[in-house]
Amino acid sequence: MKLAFLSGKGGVGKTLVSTNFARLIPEAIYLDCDVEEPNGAIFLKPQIEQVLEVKVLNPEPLPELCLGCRRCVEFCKFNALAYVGQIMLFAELCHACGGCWKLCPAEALRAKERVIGQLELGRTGELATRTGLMNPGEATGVPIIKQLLHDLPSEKTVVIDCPPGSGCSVLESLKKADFAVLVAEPTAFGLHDLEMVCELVRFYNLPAGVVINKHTEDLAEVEAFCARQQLPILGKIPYQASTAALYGAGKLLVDEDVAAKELFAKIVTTVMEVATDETARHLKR
Amino acid sequence: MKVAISATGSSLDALMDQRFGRAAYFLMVETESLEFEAIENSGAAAGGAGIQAAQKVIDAGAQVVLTGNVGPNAMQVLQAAGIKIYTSEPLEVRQLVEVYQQGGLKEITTPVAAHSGMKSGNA
Repeated sequence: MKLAFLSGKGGVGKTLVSTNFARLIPEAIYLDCDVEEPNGAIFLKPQIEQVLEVKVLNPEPLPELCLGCRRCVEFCKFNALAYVGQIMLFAELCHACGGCWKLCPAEALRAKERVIGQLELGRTGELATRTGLMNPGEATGVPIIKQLLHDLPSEKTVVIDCPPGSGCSVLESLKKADFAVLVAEPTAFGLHDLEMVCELVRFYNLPAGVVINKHTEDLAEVEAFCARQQLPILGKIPYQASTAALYGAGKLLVDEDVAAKELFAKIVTTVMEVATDETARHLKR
Repeated sequence: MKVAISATGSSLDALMDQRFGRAAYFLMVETESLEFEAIENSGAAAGGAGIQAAQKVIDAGAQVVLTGNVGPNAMQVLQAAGIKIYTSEPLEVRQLVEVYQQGGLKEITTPVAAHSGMKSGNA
């Protein structure tokens, strides 16, 4: 089962929920797809066993072959190429689509590898961890997320900690998921972004449920939304200072607090049950 | 002499736009005759706006750019084309051309930080 944890809004608790969740599942794999600022490793503290470079193919201009037709410049939607007597490349804008060198009638552009980030493969006890890290200034983390999701063993539980938002890198993080855990907080902004990611998973026909973080009884809009949308509520994590203190100290709640461990064990059971039921129902459709 | 001016509108009465890459228009003005052509730059690219804008004014035959600020990528493209860049306060285009011809503008050769033009509208 591959579970994607996403929220739209940042700071809602994707990493809090996904790290504590993964910690309680024997032989799970935790993937940190928030490649612009991955922070799961702060809590899981894995032993890093392997570091892999992530490379993309960028064009390399060969000025002596260039005819100056500028087909490549006109083709590039990201303005990574300009023509001023010869081709100029702005590599950090390149999304590595490969269109420019395929279009070039003179083979004056050739593909050249460029490193845009890395993967750190590690272990926290029996939990395997994979963290994607994008180099600062790069245009997109999508190739790093692709490589993170590549070659996942089908029999294991995979916990995918998604980036915030609902853009390209989130879509990429969802591609292999069987079920989405939408982490929400009961604020107006939290609800707004929950609506966005709800729309997103519906669009991709991905079954989903909600974990409410920072839960208080007096803010019920998120629960009302879940009821309207028939989104199962998979757990509620109370809004309390001790949680923030442990998180702020870089600790896993389930390692430090017996009540939190019980709470997360329940969330794990509920998520696995609901995800199994929902994905089965989904397959039948 | 053909100068490219980043502008907030499409006439000689428009104010200069302090942002180069994300200016609404480029006015390509012949300094002698004040004949001009307005090139639209609204809907400027999501990314690489400065590069695209620099390419536009080069292709339109600019020899000089009059603007407020230029980012690092646009500056690199303009410099590769040997275009001189002069900076000014946001004057009306007609007046700006006059001040330029009197030698009253300062040439710039260093860019402002990337994405400066995304922080605010016309200052």
